[in-house]
Amino acid sequence: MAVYAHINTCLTSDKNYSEIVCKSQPKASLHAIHYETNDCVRLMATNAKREDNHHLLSTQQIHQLNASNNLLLFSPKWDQMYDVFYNSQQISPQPDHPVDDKPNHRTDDEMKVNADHKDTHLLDTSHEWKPIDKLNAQTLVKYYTQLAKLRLTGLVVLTTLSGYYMGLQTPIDPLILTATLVGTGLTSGSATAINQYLEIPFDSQMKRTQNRPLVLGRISGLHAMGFAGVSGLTGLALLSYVNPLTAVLGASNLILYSFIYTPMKRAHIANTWVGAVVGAIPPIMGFTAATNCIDMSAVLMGLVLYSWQFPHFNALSWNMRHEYARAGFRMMSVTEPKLCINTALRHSCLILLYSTIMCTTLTTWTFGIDSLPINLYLIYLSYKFRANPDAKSSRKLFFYSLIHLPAIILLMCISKRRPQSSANNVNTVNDSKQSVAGNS
Amino acid sequence: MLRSPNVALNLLAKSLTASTQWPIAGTAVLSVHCHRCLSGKPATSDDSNDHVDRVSPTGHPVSNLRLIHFGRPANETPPERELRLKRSALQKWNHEYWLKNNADFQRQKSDYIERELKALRGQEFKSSLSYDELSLFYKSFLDSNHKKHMNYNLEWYRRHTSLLWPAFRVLLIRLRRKFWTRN
Repeated sequence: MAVYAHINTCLTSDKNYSEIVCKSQPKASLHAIHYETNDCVRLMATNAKREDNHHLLSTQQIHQLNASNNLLLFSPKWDQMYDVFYNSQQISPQPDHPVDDKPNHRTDDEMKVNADHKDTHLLDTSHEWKPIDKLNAQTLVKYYTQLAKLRLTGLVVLTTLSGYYMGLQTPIDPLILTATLVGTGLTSGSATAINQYLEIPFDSQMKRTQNRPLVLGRISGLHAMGFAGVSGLTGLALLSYVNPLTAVLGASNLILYSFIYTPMKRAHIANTWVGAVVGAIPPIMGFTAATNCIDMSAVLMGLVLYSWQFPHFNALSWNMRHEYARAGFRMMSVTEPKLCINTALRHSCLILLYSTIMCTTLTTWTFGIDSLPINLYLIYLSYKFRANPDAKSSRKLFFYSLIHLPAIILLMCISKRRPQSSANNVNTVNDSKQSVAGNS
Repeated sequence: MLRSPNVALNLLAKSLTASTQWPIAGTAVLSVHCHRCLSGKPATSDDSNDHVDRVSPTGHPVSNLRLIHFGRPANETPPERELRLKRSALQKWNHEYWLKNNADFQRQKSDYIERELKALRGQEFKSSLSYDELSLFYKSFLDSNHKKHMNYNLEWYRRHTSLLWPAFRVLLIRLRRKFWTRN
């Protein structure tokens, strides 16, 4: 168990007051008083003076802490701030340090911070502030994939692929397809890298995002922006090779996500709608890569993805609303919870509507039939989430939405309406009729 | 430097006591006496540690930021020094903002919870159950702090992106140092 202790020394009227805030599981806090011995100032831990103090250090432990030579308690310059970390190794005595008058009688047991918990020892870890590791190929790849949010980018590329396939009226052009997919992936990775660059302090506030490479300081901001620049330019160049319309869509998606959605997250709850548009554009991009125009079918696909974002994101944000509130994010789950749960349900129903409309133009009726149970279950989970919004129902809805989207896309592609084949059928029927008429 | 951490930690520690709340102006004197406040290393560390950037192993308990100690190498050129000072200043400003914001949030949240408890007259309160009441608090917190948050956002974007060009210059300097001065 790690106990993180942070000493903040400060001027008070008596110049002696110092405060140690220990962060541990559960919380502990001590107050300490300076006194001067020789050339150094020694901190003495005392009981916390807070009414709500939950500190778990017993009087005996405080005595032991005071009797120790833990670096935490020595502050040669009393007006400096220390961050010292405890972990589960034994403290090693510091021979250079001015030793206190009292004999050094620390033992393993005496240094336990919390007798109730597993062995925790106080340790002088002033060296724990680690230098930033040099980057090698392996870590570089790891950080780049984290910057590009590989899973999210993968999903975006998948939706683009489905858009391309659904819009395709000619045989597959592998060059165009590859350029579209790689271009979209690179553009999406660039957008997420810019987003992470701009969001460093906000990401550190939330558990979900606090292990991103920029937050941890593993790579510099310039490096991340360089990555974003290179991948963005390459991606857009590839997309413009496909056709200008796709490139324009890709560029506007990049700008929308990085420079409009990202700041809006703290400005207004409408950011969710903007984010939904960001999610809807990739399949339209795939469509335009195949057809070079945006028609009703493309818009329908985009609408399905637009509506899908709401049950997906609202469920995700439900569990994180405490952290969102503290970090200053304005999300529906924080400020308008009723709107949050209603929107999720409303858009789940809209997905069913769009799927039905799609059966008239884009797909055959088999899609309407086999997507029905999948869509209905989404509506059912959204309804349960609305009726009883809590951690469990939101998690179920979120995880199901991750299954729902690929399933719908797959079924869509399977049931793609092929006008050419039906025309061929008509011709062969006519031919056979004529041949029959000819023979008779 | 120690103003806001001090005030923030004091707020945390003394939220329910009647001890003196230090005025922000009065604690300005602290910054004069404190140097290397965010360094996290005691003065007894030797200078060889000072040459590299170091990152704290965990996020700060209040501000949640991973603080960086910016190392000063021996052959530091003026652009490098300028970048280091700028990064350091930005980190300090950022850290103080989040210290204050998070401490305010926790304090207001516990005040709110205490008020609600008093209203319910001693009923057991579990923060995870009463999301309705908490959401009212969240909304009021976000609304009352909206302008402050927006100002912080714009300031943060501006200052953070203004680091890019100096960082690029430093990158060129370091590349030159690595590849050209060997000749």
